Amino acid sequence: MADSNAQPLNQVQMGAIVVAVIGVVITAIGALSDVDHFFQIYLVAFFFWTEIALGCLAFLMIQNHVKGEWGFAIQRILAAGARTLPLIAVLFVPVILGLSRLYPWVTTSPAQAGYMNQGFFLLRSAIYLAIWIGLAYAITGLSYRNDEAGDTGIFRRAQSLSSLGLVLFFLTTFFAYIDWMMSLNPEWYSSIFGWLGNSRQALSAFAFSFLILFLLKDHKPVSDFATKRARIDLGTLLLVMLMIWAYLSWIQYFVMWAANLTSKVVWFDPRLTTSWGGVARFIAFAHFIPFILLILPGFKRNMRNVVLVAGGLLVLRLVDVFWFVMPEFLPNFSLRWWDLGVPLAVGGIWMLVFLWSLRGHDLVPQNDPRLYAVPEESNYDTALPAS
Amino acid sequence: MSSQSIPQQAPAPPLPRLGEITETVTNTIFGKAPLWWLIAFGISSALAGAFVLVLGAVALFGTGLWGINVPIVWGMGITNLVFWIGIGHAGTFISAFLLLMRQSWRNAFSRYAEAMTLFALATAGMFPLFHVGRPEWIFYFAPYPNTMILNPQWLSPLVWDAIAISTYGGISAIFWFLDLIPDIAAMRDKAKRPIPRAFYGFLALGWRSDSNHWERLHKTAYILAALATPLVISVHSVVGLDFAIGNLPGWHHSIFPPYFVAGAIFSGLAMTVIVGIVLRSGYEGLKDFITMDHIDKALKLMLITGLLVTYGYMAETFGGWYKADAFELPLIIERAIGPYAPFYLAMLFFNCILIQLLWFKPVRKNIALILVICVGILIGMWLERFVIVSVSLSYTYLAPTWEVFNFTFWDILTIFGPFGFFFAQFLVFIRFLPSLPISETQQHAVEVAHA
Repeated sequence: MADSNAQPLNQVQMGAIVVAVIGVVITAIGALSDVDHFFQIYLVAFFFWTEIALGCLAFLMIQNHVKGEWGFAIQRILAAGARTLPLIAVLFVPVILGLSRLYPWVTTSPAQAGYMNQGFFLLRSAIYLAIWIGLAYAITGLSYRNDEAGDTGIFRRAQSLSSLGLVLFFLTTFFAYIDWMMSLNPEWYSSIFGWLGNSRQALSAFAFSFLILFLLKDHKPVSDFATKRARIDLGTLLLVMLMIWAYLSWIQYFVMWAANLTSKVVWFDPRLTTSWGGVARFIAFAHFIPFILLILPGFKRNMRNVVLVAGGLLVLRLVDVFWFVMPEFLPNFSLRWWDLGVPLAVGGIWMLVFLWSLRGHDLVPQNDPRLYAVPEESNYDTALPAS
Repeated sequence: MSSQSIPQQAPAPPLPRLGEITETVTNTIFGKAPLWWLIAFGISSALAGAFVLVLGAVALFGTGLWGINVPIVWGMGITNLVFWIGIGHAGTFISAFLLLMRQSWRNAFSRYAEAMTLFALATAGMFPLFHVGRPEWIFYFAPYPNTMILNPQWLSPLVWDAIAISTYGGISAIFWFLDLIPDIAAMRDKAKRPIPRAFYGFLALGWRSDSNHWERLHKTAYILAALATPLVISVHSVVGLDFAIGNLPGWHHSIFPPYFVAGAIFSGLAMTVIVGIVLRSGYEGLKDFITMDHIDKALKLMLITGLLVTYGYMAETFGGWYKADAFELPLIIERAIGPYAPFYLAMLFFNCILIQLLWFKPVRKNIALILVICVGILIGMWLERFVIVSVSLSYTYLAPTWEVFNFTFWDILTIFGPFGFFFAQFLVFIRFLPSLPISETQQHAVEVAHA
């Protein structure tokens, strides 16, 4: 239980409490004025924070296979993020309460009534959440256990569990995205939607982990791991995630735009032709800024630069989710004064659980034999440009 | 990890004798051609001859020789185009993407996989050339300046194909040749007779193994890798768009571009592993370099890409059912129980079920099983392309025009001939140029010795 009083974490914790309180108050006042709008905005907030938690879980499992140097630096951040999934299950309760206000298939009878009905929807949601929580606790549990035990057998178990877990993860997120997000418009189907969601998770989780790593970078156990190379790699990976997200988003748009079939453009039409089109263009063009910055040689050497980009990307994630969800409810883009309160309220609470989870254990993995398997920089690598 | 936290080891283990690596690789070329090589080359050339025959006949008598007709206007030509471009993808994936990821185990594969890319692209390039039916006018694909301002149809994915594939071919060729330069220089230095010495000397571009040379080579290779990696994604995405934009049941799926990329790497890795196993058994000396560990890693990557392909099938099929689409759903049902059912079910068996064996370590060590699985993947991925290209065209929006594809004699030759064309090129390559990157293998050997 070493070093749980890292100074910056205390400040973040205080901040999270303040934000949560203010957010809850604003939300409460707002919800009284318009309950429907509350549930809609709540769904945006729910997706935003769920994607961070799920992204953490996915990278934790990937790291068990890739064993990259960057991964050891953020491993415990990812673990704490994944362990917020029980909170996500609790946060899902308001979505259930608002089901008939949010999803049109609850009140009408859609073509896919055998699949899209309340009972089956709730059963599936429970299965997804149970699988994610089970995976998060099993995998992080093995890693925490090893802090004391130092047993190589644990890693082999964590690795097999992660392989199986990744298969389950991609399957469950595929269906969860259809159920939770795509079925807001039951007319529409896009086969890429699951992967697109996974790419948003990746981007969110990476940007978030980078911010937390920055807070901790000068603290003893973490600073040994946040080497220059690991930090540059994290910046590069952030760029890769950004490119994957951009690729998948663009492909989805492009395929549907080119074919121009009614059944496919029903989703894009309200999102592009009304004033929501301005938001879409903002999202598309704003992402070029982090892209260009991250690709510039030397930019990633300074961690402070990448932190700004990561923070900006997180804000853009929120705008992106807002654009995904809200056009189903609002024919034109508009904001209310209390709109930001809901994601802040959810975020403040999520952050407290995250910090509680992060501080409950060592900030870096102990007794991990794989740490010694990380190769030193070879001559070949130093001959390469560092960024 | 900083260096101080790595525990000090007592005496450093002896370095592998680096000269031996050079000897082993150059001996495969300066030695006499082994019997298996001559036999393989004979068979490949015969098949390549059959392929040339098909292409000649198609050019003379028209594309009707292939069993294509309305509505199935895309048959073996396009099916094979997609299949062979896919085979090429593993090469760049291994040599460029894994270089960026600092996976030095890739070295054993990178040279011949990159060569496979070039030969697979050369093979794939034949199909659109002849499928358009007027190979002598193929230059219209290029937006060359002309007085009549006759430009290609920019809205057609086929034009994007021409641009994407030729760019990809160009970058791959440069990348492959750059990596070869130091090894060609080694060949020059080892050559005893004047003609080989002149031949390799000319190709070596005056390489002297100067440290400046090395530095520039590494930097250029890194930049080219960064350029080539997006190309791996873009080329097969464009191939996927050929269909996705085609607005047909079974084609119009947003997942097609990324899932085509996964499928391409999947089939390409299968071919890479097959060739690796053949090289290992053909040249005893190479066993130490293309090890079972390398094959194990490639097989794991194959499993991952195979699972992504399975996910693609699931996303596509589930969508048809979920939307209860009036055109998509009949296609899905017809595919599974109609006249094409054997093709479709065999595809599912090879691409989704058989590969599950790769989860188990003993399977990944059993050469015979590996070969069965890899050949199965090649068959499965060929079938996938056939199912996408021709089967989807059989069930268009106009139900009265529904048709079943008839294989002609020329179609069968078109399936097998390209394998001869591809392997004949490949066999010539391993006779004349080093099939392993000598210097990078040495580098990896040093790293392993230090680890």
